[in-house]
Amino acid sequence: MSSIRERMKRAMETGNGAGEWIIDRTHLDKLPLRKTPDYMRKWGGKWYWTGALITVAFTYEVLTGLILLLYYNSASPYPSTLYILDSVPFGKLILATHLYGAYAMIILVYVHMFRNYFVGAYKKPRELQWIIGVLLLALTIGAGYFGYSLTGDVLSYDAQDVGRGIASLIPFIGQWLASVGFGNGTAASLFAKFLGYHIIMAALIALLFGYHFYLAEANTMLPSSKISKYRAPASTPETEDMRPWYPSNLLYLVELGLLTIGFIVLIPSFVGLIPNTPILISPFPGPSPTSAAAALIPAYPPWFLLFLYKAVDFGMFTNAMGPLNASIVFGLLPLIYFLVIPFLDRGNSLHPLDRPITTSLGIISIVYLIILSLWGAFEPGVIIATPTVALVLLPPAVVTFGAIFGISKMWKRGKLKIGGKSVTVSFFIFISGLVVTIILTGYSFSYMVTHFSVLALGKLAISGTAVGFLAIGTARTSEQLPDKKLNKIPTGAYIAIGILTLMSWVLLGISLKMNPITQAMVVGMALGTVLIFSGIALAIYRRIIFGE
Amino acid sequence: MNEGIDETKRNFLKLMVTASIVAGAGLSLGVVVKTLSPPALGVSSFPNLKLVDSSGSPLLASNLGVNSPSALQFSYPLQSTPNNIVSLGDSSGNPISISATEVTIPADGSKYLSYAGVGKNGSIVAYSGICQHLGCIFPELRFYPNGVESITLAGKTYTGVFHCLCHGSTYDPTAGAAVLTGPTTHPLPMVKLVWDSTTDEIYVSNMVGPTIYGRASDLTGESPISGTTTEVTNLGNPFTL
Repeated sequence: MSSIRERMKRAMETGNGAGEWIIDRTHLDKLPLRKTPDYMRKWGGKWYWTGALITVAFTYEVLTGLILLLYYNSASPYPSTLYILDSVPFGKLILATHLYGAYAMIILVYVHMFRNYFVGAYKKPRELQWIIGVLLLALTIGAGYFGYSLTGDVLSYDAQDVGRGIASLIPFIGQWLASVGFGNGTAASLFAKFLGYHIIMAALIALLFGYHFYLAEANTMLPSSKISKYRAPASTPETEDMRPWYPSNLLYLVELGLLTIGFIVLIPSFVGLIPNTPILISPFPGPSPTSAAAALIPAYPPWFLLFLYKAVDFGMFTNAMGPLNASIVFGLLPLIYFLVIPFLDRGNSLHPLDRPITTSLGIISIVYLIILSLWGAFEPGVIIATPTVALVLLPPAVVTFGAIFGISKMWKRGKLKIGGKSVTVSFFIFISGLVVTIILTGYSFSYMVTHFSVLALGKLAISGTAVGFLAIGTARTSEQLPDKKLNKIPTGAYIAIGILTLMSWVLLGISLKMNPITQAMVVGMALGTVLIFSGIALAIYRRIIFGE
Repeated sequence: MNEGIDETKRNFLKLMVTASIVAGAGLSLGVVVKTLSPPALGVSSFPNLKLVDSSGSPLLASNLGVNSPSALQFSYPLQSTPNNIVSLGDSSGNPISISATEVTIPADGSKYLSYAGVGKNGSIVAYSGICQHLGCIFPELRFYPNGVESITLAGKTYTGVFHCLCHGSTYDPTAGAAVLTGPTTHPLPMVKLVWDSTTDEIYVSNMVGPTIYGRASDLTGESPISGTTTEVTNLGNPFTL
């Protein structure tokens, strides 16, 4: 362990070698960033880095977005989108990965939020950090909405119609707000505003993220429950035995970055090569709003707003003010709830079972989010009678409250011992179980079978699993090498890293010969694979050299 | 703890991991470099286009006025690359037949053969409407028909020429737009006209001479002309403006 520090020290004293020169002159070792304890960089520690994954995804979005800005023209949105897709070298790849990078970012923001919600990270002293985080979620979805609408395809017009409709329903300021948000009715003013808002929101995300990150550094990471003993306030003070930020954390972040971007590039490239992908997950824009094909497409919103879209179909929201009321009940109220949760749940216990109401509401939020989204995807625009809504939405709430309170009581009496890992696993089983049960037993089951081909389901499953895989902390990265003595490098490491490096260069060689327009997505698959391979190579290296 | 660490082996692993990351970074960089440069515009060969008027009907050679000072311009070989079409005549207004001649490019001394005039009298020719000196266009670069005199900086007068008012370059349209006076060092590129004697229609099919001013090549740098025709626009008589 000390070897790194000694090497660093030696390098600084002697100043020899290119690597040492770079470290010394860039002051990499003096970055004002917190050291982190070793357990956060170990195998199960990825939950501590969900924020880092979002940062990587956001950086990717900014870079690809700036490239797209060089080609996009808000005065002719659809033709310029087609030009990017069909004529610009690798334009298809940049646009598709920009879209999927945003999807990954939204999923990761949810994962980050709910993870910190359940472990009680919003409690003292991190209340403000949490509130800014919730605002960042709203901004991310907002930037996603405006960005998604920039293509000028049929879905973009649907999305802006709905958005304008809901905005103009707001009493007193509705008309003003609609014209502020959506312009005076001409396509030129609409897309000029959308492009502006998209960039403004991205800039606000960057700004707020800066403060969010500063607070995270200042408040330090919420430590593992073994250290906090489930009591707030808890912090991770820097200690002498912590490894220096460089190289330990830097290499770890490079690994996370390579894997995150690798999946952001790989998944849409793969999905993009499958013909006739369902429009909700297609990495490419839909048909022009004036084309014949447009008539066949339901007025879908982007998938991350499907939950609101379905809520508008509920019986109680079918009146004139319905869309606004549905947005308030299923959009604004949850948002406000999450904003004020630090002031509602003020106890000093961090244990989820010690906070049964909070935990139950969190689980119900996730279940509702998933159910409403799937419902919106499979039964777009079908009016649902109020009793049916109750039949679908009440049972999971009752079950969750009952189960969590029951478990909580048993746990408080000491009848139930729960280990750290089994909590996370059972949590996921519980949520997926609820969702699957409701889908399977819900009355929409027959509709799903008749209207949804097996092939389409398979594609959805593959891409969904892949996106989920990315979200859940970029899961299995390296083969688990036995924890041998650190100064012995196992032969397997040479072979594994050697093969990965070789394959990376082979893929690089193949890619260079590809046509940048017709084979853009194939190059994307190769690029994604190379990035993931180098990430895995780095993971193995860190494992054998640092024992992480 | 530090003992027994084989720096060479460790560095070898480090090198391989770095090489793998370099492959990913290199490929990303390659993608970005290619993306940043937009696809080149242009055509692979000179198109064959029919000259039409603003109503879309063919331009008839016999309708072109001899010695007309009005600028008749059409785009060729790409969009908004203007060319002038004129019917040359003598001082009494009779059409003169233009034959192919050898033209010298003063800049490098190279020579090429110009196209002969077309139409019933062989008097119709077309040249690039962009001055080869610094790219001035109509109304600066204009046709001085026989009888209308242009004055160069040196005080010498010419008639029946293309003359540019920006810096005084003068071209002789009867001799393939050869340079009469500087500062230009290149003749105007000439457009190949093909006359259909049965229908009296005119086609454009090629160019000869120097590259069009400001272009890397005649066939790139702009959007192609769509369709099989190019429209002749009358920009008016510059001497009455």
